[in-house]
Amino acid sequence: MSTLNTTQLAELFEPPPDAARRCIIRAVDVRKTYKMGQLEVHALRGATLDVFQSEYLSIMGPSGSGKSTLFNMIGGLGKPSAGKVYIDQVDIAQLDHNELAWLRCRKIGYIFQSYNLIQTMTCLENVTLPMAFAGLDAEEARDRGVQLLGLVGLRHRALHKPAELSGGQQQRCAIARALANAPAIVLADEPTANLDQKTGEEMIELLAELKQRLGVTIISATHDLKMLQRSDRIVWIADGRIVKTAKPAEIDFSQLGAH
Amino acid sequence: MSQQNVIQDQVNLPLPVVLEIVLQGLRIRLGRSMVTIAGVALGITFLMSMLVGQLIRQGLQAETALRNETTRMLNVLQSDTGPLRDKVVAVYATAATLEENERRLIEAVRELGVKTIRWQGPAAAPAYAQTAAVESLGDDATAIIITGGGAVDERTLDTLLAKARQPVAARTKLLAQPTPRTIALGIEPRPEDVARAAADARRDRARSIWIIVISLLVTTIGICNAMLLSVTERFREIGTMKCLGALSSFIRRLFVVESLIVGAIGTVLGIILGTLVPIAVDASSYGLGMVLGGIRWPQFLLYAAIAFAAGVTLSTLAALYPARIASRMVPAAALRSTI
Repeated sequence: MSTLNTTQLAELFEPPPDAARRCIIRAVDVRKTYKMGQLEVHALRGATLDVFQSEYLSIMGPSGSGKSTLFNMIGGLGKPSAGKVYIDQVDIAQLDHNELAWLRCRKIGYIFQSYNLIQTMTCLENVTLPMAFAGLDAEEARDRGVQLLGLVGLRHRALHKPAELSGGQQQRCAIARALANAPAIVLADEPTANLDQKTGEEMIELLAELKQRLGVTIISATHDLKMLQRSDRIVWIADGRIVKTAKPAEIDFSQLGAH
Repeated sequence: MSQQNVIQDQVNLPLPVVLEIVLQGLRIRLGRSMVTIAGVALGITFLMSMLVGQLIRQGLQAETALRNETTRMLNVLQSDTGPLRDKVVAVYATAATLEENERRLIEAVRELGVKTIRWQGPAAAPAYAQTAAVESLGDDATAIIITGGGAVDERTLDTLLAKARQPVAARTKLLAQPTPRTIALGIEPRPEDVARAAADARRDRARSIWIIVISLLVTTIGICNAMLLSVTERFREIGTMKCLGALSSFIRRLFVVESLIVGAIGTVLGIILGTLVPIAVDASSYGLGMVLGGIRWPQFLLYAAIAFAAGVTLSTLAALYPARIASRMVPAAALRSTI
């Protein structure tokens, strides 16, 4: 089932630093308030969370719970109204647009529910786009892109357009793109929601292996039970607060399914 | 907490990368790009056909005026000499070149079926004329045509008219000082005619400027609308690019460059169409030769340059607002899974 080609890994990624549990994302009393006309909506009411290097963290919660907001905050997609978010020890509130773009480009890889591949570009071009944003030379980017596509088992599809691929293949391509600039963190927003069960499981397996071998931190927002069971830690969020943090073993999934 | 990671400024992508992405996008969305290009092309076609139509009209008017002038001069001459058929006509050129109305007049005289046209002076003689010395130029001549504005002294005039069959000397130009013993073929335009022509031209210009401005505004709004549609259609793509590290300025450039390319292609098409269509329409009633002959080509090149500048500038301006909306889109837009 695995398509990870381990011999390439040393070339593509630096080996993870020593096993010390380094805190890669720290959220301290994060609050976020949106203004909708006269009404103030408190999406987050003080969430505190540490995410460690090489951790597979799942965030779950009903819609409107603030799950997406928390996800955006720790993914560098928005700034908190109050509280602090540190990504790789950098306070994101201090960064301007330009520096945030740099951060998103180099430190974070994004995987989306609906893949969000750019339809006008081939798989390879999709994978090399973040490298171009990082200022990598085109030839180097192409070589690395082909290797990354090989890593997720899509080398033979490199010159195809996303529309010519199955959902699973598109998501693999999106994973290769997320790894383009060797990020420390991969953010996955319901990565299996648009896939059938079998393909979804393959994807979970692929992400788990990437975490294991590359030492990347994976944070996903998901309702997928399979995915929750595979994660190291689950954060349960409700009404703008983190109500529970637990290992999968501590959660009765048969009860959770009832939600 | 120590700042062990130094955050840097994100690099701005070089233009070739932007160009590549834009061209690829245009190729993929060919149908829609074509519609936008057609919109620009129509607007510029309109502008260009107004300008070229005006050039053609001016050319035709000048030609008609010249023909009327020639007929009038010929009539004035013949009223003094009588019919010129099988007679001898002498041309005494005082200037180095013939003006178009003088050339036409002599051509018209030849077409009356004169026996001989004798020629003297610095202006190059046409093939059918016989060059002659001043002393023999007037021999047996029914009319002596003096071209150009140069002076002719009494003695020369005496020599010319000495052996002439009829002592008629005609000047093609109307000179400021009186010229005794010669008739003048040229006339001064009446001041009220000049004033009326100027007023007509002014009214024409005001009317066409108004129509041109409206048509260009319609084109600009059309492009703006197409680009806005393109932005809404691609909001997720834009969000994704921002997640991958694209700067706002990159997104803005993406749309401006796209509009620039679409605008340039449409403008070139519009210039070609806007030139060919009025020429074809007028050629069908006046003949291609007369239409093409009347156009002042340096003026035409200027108009084409103006149309090109207008098309490219307006399509760039039209993209600024949509590009601004696109560049302000937040990266989190990529996460919204429903459209």
